[in-house]
Amino acid sequence: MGRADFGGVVAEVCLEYLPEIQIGEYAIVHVGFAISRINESEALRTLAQFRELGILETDFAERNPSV
Amino acid sequence: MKHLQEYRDGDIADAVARSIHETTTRSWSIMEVCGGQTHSIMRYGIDQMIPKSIRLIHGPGCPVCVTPVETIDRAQMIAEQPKVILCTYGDMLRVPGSRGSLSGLKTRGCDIRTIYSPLQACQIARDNPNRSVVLFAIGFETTAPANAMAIKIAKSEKLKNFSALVSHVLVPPAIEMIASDPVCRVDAFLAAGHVCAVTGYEAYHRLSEMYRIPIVVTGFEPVDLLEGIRLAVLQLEKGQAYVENAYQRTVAADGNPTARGVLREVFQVTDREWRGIGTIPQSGFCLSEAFRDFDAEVRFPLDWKSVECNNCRAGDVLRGILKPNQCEEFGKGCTPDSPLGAPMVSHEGACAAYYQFSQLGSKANAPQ
Ligand code: SF4
Repeated sequence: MGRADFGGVVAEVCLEYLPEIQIGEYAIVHVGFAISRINESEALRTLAQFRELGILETDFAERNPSV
Repeated sequence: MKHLQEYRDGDIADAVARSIHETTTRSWSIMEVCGGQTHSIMRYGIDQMIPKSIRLIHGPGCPVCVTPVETIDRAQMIAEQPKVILCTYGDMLRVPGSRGSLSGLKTRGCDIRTIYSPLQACQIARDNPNRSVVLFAIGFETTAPANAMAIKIAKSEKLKNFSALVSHVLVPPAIEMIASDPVCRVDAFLAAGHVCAVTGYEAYHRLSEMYRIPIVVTGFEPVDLLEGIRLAVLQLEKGQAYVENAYQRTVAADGNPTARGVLREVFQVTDREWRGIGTIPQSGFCLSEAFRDFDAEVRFPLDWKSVECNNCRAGDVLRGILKPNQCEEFGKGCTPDSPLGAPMVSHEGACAAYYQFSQLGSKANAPQ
């Protein structure tokens, strides 16, 4: 078991299915089980694709400096 | 959460929606299979952001809604047995069976406990060695690994007072049933991201090829949904049909192999009845031979035939034939406070989504 912070609420989460998860990483948690690690580089890559496609004119990393 | 802001960002959502407008030249019907996605679509008004010629059809992905009435009746009858503690996810409590709901039984004194994790059922079994603890194990492939783990723990700890009433359902056979229907009006599917996080999406290639239909693995935030729709429309406009992953940050092609391994150990695939839809071959999980001792249906043999007995049109809603607000009972005889059918109860039910978000003036709620 591990502990996960759900936007301020900390709860116990079963990590059996995600043994490789590291402290500080993000995961999808369903009925108390972490089932998938959120891949940060993929998250950024998808967002970057929107820029490449010309969908976005601005760099939202600049617009949201806290990211 | 990290990057969650961007995937909810109105400007990014608008930009992706604009791109869909630029790409779309014809009318297309796209089914989001998962009820969680239906709720996101209604909550964020995604259906209003996309071209009018794109129709979103809501699919059968609401586990509580498709659980057979017979199984709900059976759960109630088990809960009525002496010394039983029935553990269920909260969504199931108010779903009408043919003899009322679990919450009705609870007010009449049956010991029915709402859990958020199936591991709680194991704990309840450890704490109550003289009671028989039954886990009502329903859900799609997202929930199945959690229930499987609870059952596996019960076996390894020899928790003899633990059993599970298993009624799991699987997404790919449901997609196949819809895609193979000769009157199928679905041009593309958005596959549920969290299901694929467990299973991966290898099983979808065959379906996409066989029925020449685009399948896009899609997440739940507004930008995720719009991106899923954008990729589906791109394929449709180009006359292509393949499996695409629009939810790369969460879904790997082979899903979660550890979870899949435990699913194979604890469960086996079986024919399953879907409420309102009928039996779909090889569309569910039951306990595997090695775990049969933990089967609540074996432990509590009950002879009972259920009958559906009201005007609920859930089956048509779940197959995408009827929009919830086209049901005569919608908002009149059937509301979240007094639901006639499961889709009005569940937080993944399409009727509840329409009811809850109808004030937003969504396109889906406009007169048809
Ligand atoms: S509105 Fe109520 S009665 Fe009609 S289909 Fe939905 S749940 Fe059933």
